[in-house]
Amino acid sequence: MHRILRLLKYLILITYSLFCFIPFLWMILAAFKRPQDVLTVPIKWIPPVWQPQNFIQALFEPRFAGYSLSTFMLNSIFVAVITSLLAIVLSTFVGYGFAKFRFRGRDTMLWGMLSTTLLPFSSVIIPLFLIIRMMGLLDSLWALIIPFALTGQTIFLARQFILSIPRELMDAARVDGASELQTFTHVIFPILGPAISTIGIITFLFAWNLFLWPLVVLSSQGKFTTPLGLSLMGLGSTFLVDYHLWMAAATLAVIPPLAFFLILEKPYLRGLETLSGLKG
Amino acid sequence: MKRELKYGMFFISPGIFFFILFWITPMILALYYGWTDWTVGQSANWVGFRNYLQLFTDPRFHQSIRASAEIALISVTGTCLIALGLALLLNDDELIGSRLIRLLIILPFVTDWVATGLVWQLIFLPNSGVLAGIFSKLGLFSLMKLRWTSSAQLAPWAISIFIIWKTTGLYTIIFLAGLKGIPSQFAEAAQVDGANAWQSFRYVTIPLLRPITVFVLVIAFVSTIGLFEPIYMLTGGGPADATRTLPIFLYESFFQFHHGGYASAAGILFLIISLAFALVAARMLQYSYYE
Repeated sequence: MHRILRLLKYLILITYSLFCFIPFLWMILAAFKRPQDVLTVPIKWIPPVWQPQNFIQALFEPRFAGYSLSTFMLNSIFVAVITSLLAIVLSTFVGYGFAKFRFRGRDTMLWGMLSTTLLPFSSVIIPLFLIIRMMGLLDSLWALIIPFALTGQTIFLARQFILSIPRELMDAARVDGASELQTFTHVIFPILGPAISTIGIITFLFAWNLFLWPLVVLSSQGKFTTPLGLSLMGLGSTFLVDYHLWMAAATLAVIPPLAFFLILEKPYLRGLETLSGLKG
Repeated sequence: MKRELKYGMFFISPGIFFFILFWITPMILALYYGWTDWTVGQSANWVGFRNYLQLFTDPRFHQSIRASAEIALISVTGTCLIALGLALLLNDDELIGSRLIRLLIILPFVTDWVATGLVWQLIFLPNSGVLAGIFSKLGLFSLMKLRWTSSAQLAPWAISIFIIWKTTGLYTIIFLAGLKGIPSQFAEAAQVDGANAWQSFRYVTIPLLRPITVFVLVIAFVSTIGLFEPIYMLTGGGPADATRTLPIFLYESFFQFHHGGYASAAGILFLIISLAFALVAARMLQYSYYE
């Protein structure tokens, strides 16, 4: 009886893992296929002829008003890296204020900023668009960076990490004559390694995956990010039905976020757990 | 104490600046434009509650609430049940390969909606798609013709399957963290008192999981109801109005039809619905933040 239950447990877990993984597997294999081998009944899982040159074509062929996927990916990397760096600096700075100083209204303000993480971003997209237009940032990559450089989520993450730093460390720096700002930059920030990698990876993935917001604020194709560029393909688009190239492009598009995730898996998962309020 | 206030405010000031600029101001702007007849390119005139009255009688808006509720109901139920089940199975220190399984389950969550959306378009393609290919192998030839994304009955299900595939990993991780946080002494104590495995699960584990379950349900609800990408990628809101959810309705009203005032009013109603859920969630969460 116990044996059968155990077997059943593995069966369920393996089935669900396969459900998660098979779309990726099919995508990667389709990326190597000839066009006529992609959608066949019955499915040809293994490409009869391997065409690795599909990736080169998907990456460099200037199909989108003279631009190619490589441009979109460079734009995405720029946006994701700069947003992450700003998020690391700004949210540890603000998180320090929330974690180590006591003053009236602090918890109310923290609660207010946190509650924004529970509001759907798409509900404020129209007025946010107006603000970005007033700031003169329409059709600029900075429009994708600035609104997300500091969010309730990353402030909370930084605060939780900084809470565990002993006060004596700050007191010692003050006794040595450091100013409040120096205490932060020279004593606190350098020991925030775990917080920095967690905030970095969460922000990187968030910025890389943004779609609705760039769709709204960007208009010239030279500035498109990867998801936006990919959306020019797809059923019903005006581009040729080159399914093998779509899949090559989709495979290339998931490599940077996946690579980052695999390197920083532990800090990422720790961040998700912290955000769910379970871990200090 | 003045010192604490001075430096505390100094450090949190960027937070206040961003919060006001990117959350408070947009809400005020939306509230203001919601009371006007503003159309993009023209001046705005005050019309009071006309937009709101119009929304209450607009069949397209009703349909968008219905579509949002339908997709949210299917995907939140599916996601939470699967995530809880997986977390219970994975919460076992002797499990072989649990790290690999957790990695595979979270993969869809860390990749983007558009790249994976392209794959799901081809999975759902009638007659020649991946699903059709699998059905043909199983001899279920009548199922091959199913129009997953272009029939009004199936489209919400196709979108929900995509959402469940994409997001269940996140909630599995959260449930798993919750389960790990339950000290095993409780279950052991129950067993000492003569409870069997099922009884200790039913009367010890389940009640202790209640706060985290509420948290997951609310987070899953507010994030699903705000989703734009899976619908844009699979159906574009169609067929007819079957999957035109609130975010799609807002997007079209403003960026295609340029009805700024009307779309702003709809955005305010959308915010109120989400805010109501957020407040409930925040109240239930507060204790865990300060523990």
